[in-house]
Amino acid sequence: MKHYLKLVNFELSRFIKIYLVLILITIVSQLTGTFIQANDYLNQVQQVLAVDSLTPEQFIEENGYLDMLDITFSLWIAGPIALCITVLILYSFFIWYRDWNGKNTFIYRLLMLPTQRITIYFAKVTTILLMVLGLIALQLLLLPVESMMLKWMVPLDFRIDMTVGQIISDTRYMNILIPDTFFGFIIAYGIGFMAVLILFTVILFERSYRWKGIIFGIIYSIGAFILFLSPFLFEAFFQVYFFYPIELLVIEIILWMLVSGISIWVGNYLLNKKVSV
Amino acid sequence: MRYSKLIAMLLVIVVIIPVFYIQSAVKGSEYPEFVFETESGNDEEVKNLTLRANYREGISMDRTHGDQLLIDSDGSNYYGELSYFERLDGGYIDSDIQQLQDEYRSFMRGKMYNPSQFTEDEEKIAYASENSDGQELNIELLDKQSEEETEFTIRIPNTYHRIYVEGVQLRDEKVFVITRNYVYHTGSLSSEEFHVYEIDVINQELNTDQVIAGEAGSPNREVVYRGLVEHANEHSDYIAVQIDTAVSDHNSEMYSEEQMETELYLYNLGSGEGETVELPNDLQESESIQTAVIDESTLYGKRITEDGLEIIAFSLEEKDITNRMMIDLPDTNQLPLNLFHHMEIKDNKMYLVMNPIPPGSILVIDLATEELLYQGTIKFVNPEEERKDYYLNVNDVSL
Repeated sequence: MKHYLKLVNFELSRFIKIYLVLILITIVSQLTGTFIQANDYLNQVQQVLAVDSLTPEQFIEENGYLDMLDITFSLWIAGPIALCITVLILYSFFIWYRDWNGKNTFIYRLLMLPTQRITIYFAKVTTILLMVLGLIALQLLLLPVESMMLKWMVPLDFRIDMTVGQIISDTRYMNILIPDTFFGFIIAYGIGFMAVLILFTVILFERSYRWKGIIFGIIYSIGAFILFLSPFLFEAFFQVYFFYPIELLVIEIILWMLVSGISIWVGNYLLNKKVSV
Repeated sequence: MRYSKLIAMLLVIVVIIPVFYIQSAVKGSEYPEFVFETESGNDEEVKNLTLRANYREGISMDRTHGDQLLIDSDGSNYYGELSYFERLDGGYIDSDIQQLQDEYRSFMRGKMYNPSQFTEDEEKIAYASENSDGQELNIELLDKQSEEETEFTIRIPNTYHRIYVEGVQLRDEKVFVITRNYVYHTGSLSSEEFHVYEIDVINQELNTDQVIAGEAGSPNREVVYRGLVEHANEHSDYIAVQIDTAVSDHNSEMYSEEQMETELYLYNLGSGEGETVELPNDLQESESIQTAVIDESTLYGKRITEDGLEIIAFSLEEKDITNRMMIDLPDTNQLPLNLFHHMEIKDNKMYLVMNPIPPGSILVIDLATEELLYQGTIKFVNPEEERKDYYLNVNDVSL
């Protein structure tokens, strides 16, 4: 356990610089974007009211209120999120491959540690997970701040206030990242976690068997997805809706445990027997 | 500190994310509350009434897409307040379907959630669906007593590109399937036909295929709209299709109200006979019939007059108006111009829900005595004074 924590801490430290940069970019872009968009709206209001001599009500009729959705649907908010997702996906690969970099391969020392090798595997998964959740937490902190900016800047007559929950639910891409319910959250990130496990297993196949490994890896991941998605594939193939939603949920939980378990087991096997330094 | 980064991250995650979900759930929601407010009459009458509605703040241009809610005599419940498990279906399910699913779980497995495709009597449940892109009808039956399931397919004469099942009825050992069939022609024109398929359950074969509400009007009138008139329950022998025709005017796309005529094509399931029925002037407004309901052999339509809302009872046997009821509403000239209000009829009582809201009105009328048993509104209990434009759209009414 102690080794696990040390390794997690170690992995975090390795990535912290890039991580902090991502956080900074996100904060700056989102706050700036909020300010700019609110300002643009206000300018538009001023202009239209002065030039076209409309009353506020008329302006609203033609242009609508300003709400947080006008902000979240912009690149200022969505951009950094997309950037963070991309970087984290890339790092999911790099978190392994960097250990093989250079001549004095770090992986040699890593594998010689007096610990179960699977600990390394778990430490890396944990790190990725923590970093993803950390960014989610960041977004949950930023949204109320941005909302408040809107409240300060735009008069009540021209805006609609939404709760953070409503903003997230109504913004499709955010709702995928932050589901409406806690249980939904567990499910979404459980699936993400499983996907990372599959990815790690594929990487380990490559590190064990090189070119052949890539083929094995691809076959493995296809097999894993087929297994996990089997109820849906079944329904699609036979062109029926067969399962009630709650049944699908139970089946999927079981399949999730199966696929995750198999991925960890195969990863462990490869790490212990086959990985070459 | 050695584990400072790890601890910092864990703290942030474990505090912020759960707190977000807890406060989302516990907040009791910022959703506005709607209640039934009685203006006159007995509020027992709306005890079993449930409205499914959509609430939206702002005006139609705003992106807030609206929240689904159910309103009944206890108040309002929003879809967003339900737990993850309660939301697995992806939306509110029609209450009839929900009931069937609860009682006959295995028979209902995998079937579409469309109430028009089901029918039920004391002994059986029947379900009809389209197969093979318009070539076949799939019929499934459940004997409620023996729990025996029967399934068979009927080949449909002629070819259609698409068939929509709009109604299913059971009579003795026959299943009637009412469909809307489309044939697509080149150039994006399509022709539409209503059919009544009479199917023999015992021999599992098609008895008759009747086209109803076929071409109507005269050479210089074209059919603008066809729609099946809603039934209050399964007992009526009458199927009515509303047909709107207008003077063919190839110059303009719009039809003026004076040019439009509404008539009914009436088909009797018992006798198998069909005929076109002209409607009296008072029922000539298309929306009067689009929102009408057939109860046994009477069609109830409504229209707005200077004196208020008029409910017109049109007998399908005598093909004439047999009764009228005038409901005096306080702000008749504030009523929305269209008549898209919901009407349900149960146990000889009529339930009317006016839409969109504001202003909202719920009326319960005893059809036998013509007494207004209940009049009320859907009141917006405003938690904040800052609330602005909103509207509430009632999509469904159930009892």
